[in-house]
Amino acid sequence: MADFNLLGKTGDLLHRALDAESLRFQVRAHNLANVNTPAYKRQDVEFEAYLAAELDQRDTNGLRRTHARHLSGEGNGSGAAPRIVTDRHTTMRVDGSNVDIEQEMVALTETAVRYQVLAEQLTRKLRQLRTVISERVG
Amino acid sequence: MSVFHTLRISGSALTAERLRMDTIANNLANANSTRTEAGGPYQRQMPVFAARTRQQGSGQGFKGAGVRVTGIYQDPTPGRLVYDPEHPDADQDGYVHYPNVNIVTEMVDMISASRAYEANITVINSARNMAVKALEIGRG
Repeated sequence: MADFNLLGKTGDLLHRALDAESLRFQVRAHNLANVNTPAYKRQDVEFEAYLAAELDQRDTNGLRRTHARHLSGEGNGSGAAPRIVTDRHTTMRVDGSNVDIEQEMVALTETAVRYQVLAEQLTRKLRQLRTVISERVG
Repeated sequence: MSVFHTLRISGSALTAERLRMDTIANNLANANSTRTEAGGPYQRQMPVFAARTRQQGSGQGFKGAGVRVTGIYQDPTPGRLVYDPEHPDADQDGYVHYPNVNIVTEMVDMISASRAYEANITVINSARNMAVKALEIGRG
């Protein structure tokens, strides 16, 4: 049953986080596309909280964290999926829309930067792997 | 693929906002047109947008697919009346029926359309940078 994964847990987490950020970017693009659509309600992606909860719970040795400062175990982190939520509780304009163009642009930029950071981390992870394989440094 | 889907989402918004800009330009150009083919003065036109959704849910379950224009509607409010008996289109009482185009409203709409267009251009550029970054994975 050994899951042969060269990149290990880090690679798996980075992969899933990249997927989540990509989805989030798409959702934000959709929000911005509908910035002038009457009664449109903005959507968002929730992922980090689910992932954190999952990593907290999944200890391979069956231990649970009972305090926030305990070290977490070796959670394998498979399962938590990004969820799309619609913000129906707020209204920003007279026509019922709640897309704030500034807020959405900031969030979009943040998503893009996070994506690039994650991609960079994955690149470095692969570089480490390559160093190990080729027995050279750099 | 999701990068191209993002581009299509923003592309649909560019089309919609440009159409909005076209109707605004048309409204402003006809702000003083007292005759139309249908008779009567020009009526202000406005596009109506609606969020578009994908029918088959490929990808990670996100159904959003940008924006679409459901149609261009005429503003039915009456236009302004100007007393000018010499005008060829004046009615029996000497009043000319002018279009219901309000220049200020059109200018505000124009700024809104322009800013929305810019925002979507930014999304496209950002999506492209992300795609390029994704291509660099494993290259280091």
